[in-house]
Amino acid sequence: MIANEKIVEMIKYILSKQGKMVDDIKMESTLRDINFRSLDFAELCLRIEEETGRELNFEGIQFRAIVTVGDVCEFIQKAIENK
Amino acid sequence: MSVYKLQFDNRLFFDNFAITIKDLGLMVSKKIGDLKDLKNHRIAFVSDDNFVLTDSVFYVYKNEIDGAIVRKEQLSDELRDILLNLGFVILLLNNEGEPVDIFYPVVNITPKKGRISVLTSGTTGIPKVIPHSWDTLFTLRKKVDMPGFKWLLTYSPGTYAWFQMITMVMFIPDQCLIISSSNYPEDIWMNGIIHGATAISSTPTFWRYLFLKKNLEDLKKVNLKQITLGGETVDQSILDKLKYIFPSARITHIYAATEIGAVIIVNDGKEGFPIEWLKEYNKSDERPLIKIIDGKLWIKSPFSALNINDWYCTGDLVQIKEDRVVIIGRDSSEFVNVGGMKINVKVIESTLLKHPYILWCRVYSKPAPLVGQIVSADVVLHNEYKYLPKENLEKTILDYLKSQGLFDWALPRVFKFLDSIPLTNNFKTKYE
Repeated sequence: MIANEKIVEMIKYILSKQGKMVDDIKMESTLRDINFRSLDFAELCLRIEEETGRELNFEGIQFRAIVTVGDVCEFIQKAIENK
Repeated sequence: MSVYKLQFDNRLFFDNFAITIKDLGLMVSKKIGDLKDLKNHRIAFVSDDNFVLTDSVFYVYKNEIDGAIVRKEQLSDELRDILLNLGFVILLLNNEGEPVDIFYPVVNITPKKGRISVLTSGTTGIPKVIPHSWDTLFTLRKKVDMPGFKWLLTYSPGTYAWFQMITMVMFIPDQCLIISSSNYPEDIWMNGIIHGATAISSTPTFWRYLFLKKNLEDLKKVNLKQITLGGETVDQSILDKLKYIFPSARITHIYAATEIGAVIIVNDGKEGFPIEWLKEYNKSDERPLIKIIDGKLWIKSPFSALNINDWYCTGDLVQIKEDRVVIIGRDSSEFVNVGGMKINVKVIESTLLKHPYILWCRVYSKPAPLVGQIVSADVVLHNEYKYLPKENLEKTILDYLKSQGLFDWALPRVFKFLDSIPLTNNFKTKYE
């Protein structure tokens, strides 16, 4: 398990090192608004794998449903649980 | 036997003794002299003792043996099988030069006088065994009037670069070699101080490793007149740093490969080589010919291995930058594919190395969801920048890479900051 706050913290870090604004990021913020792209998502997954020591499993999980930061957190939690 | 004259008075300095060329080869000769059944075989001499291996190579030369020299740590099961399948007897020697184990070949191949097999350094896998002769190994044959130097030997026994140094001390007057029993750069350097080295040939990674371990004062204790770099891509940052530390030394960088020999030699202190050489080298058969096809370096060389007679694709990618041809590194195996966009890791590495904080780096791909792969970088910082907060550091480095024209997708997404440089046995950058 990994806390949602930790995932949001990682999202902020990934965006901030690219010089993007991170102050207003909330669970309901859309990825489009905060400019969080597929490459950022890929990096986030690697960082989570490193943090948890577990490989994420995306089989059978819907990518299309991800719109907000909250969706990212939910998606990651499912991928961690999905053995 | 080579037509070149052995320089009997040239000396080799080991940790606590020196020996002339005249006396080399005798110890191994004495210890294995009774093994008569070896005569009809190719022989690979294996030891973990650098003196024994040096003595063995002179025994090989003086007895015209079809031989190879191998460091024991390099003799994996795979390499042992390769050598046995090439008809080599593998002779394991202890540090007294006595045979302690012998493996006999699985095929019988008639030995050829004067053939020397050279091992590639195996940076990217199992070493290859490349057939040479004393003639093709002695690429300095036009330099017999070079000034006398005491060379610090940094290369691993049996490799192409090692044979360059060995043939130099064998055949060029007034050359000496300082050979260490240790394989750590800092110990090799200490031997250079003790024995008064005046010249060194090494990889850039050897120097970067030393920069971490030795301060400026320690480095200046060796009064170098000649610095030669090879075995890896030589970039401007390493040339500039060496010029700063050793202002009176001549700095040469060499492009060489075991298959084609030492073919491009540059002395002007700039990375790459002048674009005119693509034409000039065509004027004489005695000099290697160079051409570029599809961005890759091709060479036709008089120093090629015995099994290469024509143009040879080095597999190295080059870029033309104004009036220079800059070698950036090996081809497809080192590309990162980020969502269909491909970039050679060497392009990213050479840009990273321009950053003033970065002493050394290696770039590689990591599998990642959605985009297939992302770029990762292991980095070693110069000592003075080691304690900077890593969070700001990543941003600073990324901003710099962007300012140098790297696209967003080609930027390293994951950095690992290492304390020391991982080395191969020949002091090259180690890739996993």
